[in-house]
This record gives sequence, structure tokens and C-alpha cells, in this order.
Amino acid sequence: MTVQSSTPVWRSARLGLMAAAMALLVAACGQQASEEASASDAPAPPAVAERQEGFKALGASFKLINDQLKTDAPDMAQIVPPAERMNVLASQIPTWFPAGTGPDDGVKTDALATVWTDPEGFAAAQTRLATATTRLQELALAGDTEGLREHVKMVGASCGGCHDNFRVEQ
Amino acid sequence: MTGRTDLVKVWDLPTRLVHWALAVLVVVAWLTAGERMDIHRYAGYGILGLVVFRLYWGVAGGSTARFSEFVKGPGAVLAYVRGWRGAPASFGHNPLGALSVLLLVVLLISQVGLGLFTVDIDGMESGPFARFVTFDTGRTAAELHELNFRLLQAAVALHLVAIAAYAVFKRRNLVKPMVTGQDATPGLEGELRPAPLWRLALGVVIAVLVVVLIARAG
Repeated sequence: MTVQSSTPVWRSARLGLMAAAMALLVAACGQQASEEASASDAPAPPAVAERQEGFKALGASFKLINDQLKTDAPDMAQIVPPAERMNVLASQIPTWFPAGTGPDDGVKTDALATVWTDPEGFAAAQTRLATATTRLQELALAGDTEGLREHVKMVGASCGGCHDNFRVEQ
Repeated sequence: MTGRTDLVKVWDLPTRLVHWALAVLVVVAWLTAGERMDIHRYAGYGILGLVVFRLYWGVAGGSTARFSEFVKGPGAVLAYVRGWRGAPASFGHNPLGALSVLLLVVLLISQVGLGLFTVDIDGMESGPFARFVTFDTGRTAAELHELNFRLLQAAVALHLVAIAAYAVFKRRNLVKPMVTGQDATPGLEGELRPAPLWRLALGVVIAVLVVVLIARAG
């Protein structure tokens, strides 16, 4: 391809890229603006920030474990600490949702009101996760790679099961 | 239609196959997103391979698939838009449609690229490159993956509206030629210069290699 014949190609490609970038920017700004507007309704209680950090740490820890398990030779030294962390965090979940921090209280949260209206269901979901993470920690300490590969599916299902019923849909 | 209906070969088989395979796989990826991540991942790899092949075919393929043949400068695009109602039927992509092709290709590349780094909210499912980034970065990639898909949807919608507009206002069927490769529009001027078979084989090898290397790197 000669330089001459490629010039219009790149000019148009650049135009297309610019249009796409601008559209992304506009969409991103719109989303941010709407989030800021609803966030200013009421100051978020500290419990909201605490549970958000907690669940992010759960997800980040689970990712570290899954990243290792996807490799040919998972490194248990990289799996045990996040597995222990997940087990601690999972046991703390009941303290993260005090009364008055739900969507019905005017709080900006992705938690559904069902967390507070269906406490038995929520407790069962939490127990399911805590049981799964306890087993996860045991398997990690035992260095059982194949057992872990099978068990993470159950842990993932525990996350997903709770997200389906107690968190706004993604 | 009366009179001559000479069939003219417009699109070569690889271009048509890539087009329809992309259409199918984008829908499959859409429907399986967040539900069947195993299928979603394979659909993504398929789209990646098809886009790699299409980029290659854009410089090495049949004449109507080549970017240098159909991508025109802003002047030509503007002139085409101004005289749209009376413009003679283009052989292959018209100057405006060329932009649509580029837009779709760019959006597909960014979609697959973001998907490689995407992590789900549980930290359970992830793209093959997600292990090279943090959970937070992977979550940002997931959000952009979703946002970019909305743009892709809009671009596909525009693509379909354009096809409908040519059918209604210009009585031109653009779908059939993309299926059969033959265009029956009277007065078409041009000739498809096909690419030799070895170029097709080379393109398939390149596309498969890229997909395998990326899938294995993860």
C-alpha cells in the first residue's frame, strides 16, 4: 500500500475513532452526572462505605484465587491469604447491614430492601457463603488444587445467589 | 423488475462469511453475557478471530473488501451525502457506508479488547488478561465493556436503518448480495478482483494463531 492511497483511509479511521471516543465521553459524563445527583440526596451512612469496601475486598480476594487456579501450576502461597481473608469477611457480613441503611431509608445503596424485609433469607444466604469460604480456606491450607478448582464454583454460586435476591441487578 | 437483470459478483465468500458469522456471534455473546460465561468467552474468541481476519482481508482480500478501495476522504463522503437521492448505485461499499464499516470494526475491537480484561462482580468469571490487572481495573473494564456494547448496538441499529433506507428510497436490496455475493442492481459499474486462495489460507492461519495465543496467555 502506498502512502498516498492510505492517507484517506487513516483520515477516516481517525474520524471514526474520534466519534467513538466522543460518544464514550458523553455517555460517561451523563452517567456520572446522574450518580452525583442522586448521591447528594442524603449523606451515606458509614455502614454503606464499610460494606462496599468489604464486598470489593471479597471480590478482589476471590479474583486472586481464581487467577491462580486458572494457571497450570497454582501457587498455594498466593491462594491461602485471600482465602483466609474471604472467610473473615464472609463472617462479618451480618454487621454490615444495620437498620436504617437500606434504600427505603433514602440511602443510595445497591442493596435491596429485601435485606431488611427478609432477614431469614438474607441470613441463610450469608451462612451459605460463610460455610463455602470456611471450606475454601480448609482446601487452601490443605493445598488441594483440584478440590479448590471444584469448590470455587460453589463459592461463586453463593455470591451470585445473594446478588440475585438482595442486590440491584447489574 | 423488467429488462436486464445481470448478476454482478460484488462480495467474495470470505467477506460474506465473516459478515454473517460476526452477526451471529455478536448476538450469541449478547444473549450469553452474565449467564453462560463459557459460551460468552468462546463467542468473544470467535469475534476476535473474525475481526483479525477482516482487518487482514481489508488489505489482502478481494477488491471490494479492501479499505483502500472503499474508504474515501471527507470530501467524497460529503458529496455522496449531498447527492444521495440521485447517486448512482455504488459497486461495493459507498463512501458513507465505508464509515459505518470502520465504526463497526473499531467498536468490535474495543469490545473484545475490554472483554479480555473484564472481571465479574464476584471475582469468579474473567477474561483471559484479567489476571494481569487488579479487581478494580477489571471492574472498570467490565463497565466500559457494557458501555461500549451500547455503542455497538447503536451502530448496528444504524446499519439496519441504512439497509432499510436503501430498500425504501432507492429500491435496492443490500441484503441479498451479502448472502449470495451477486448484485442484480442495474447499471452497476465495477469488477470484483478476487484474492488468490493462498491469501485466504494465510489469513485464516493468522486469525487462528492470534486467538490461540491470546487464549493461552490468559
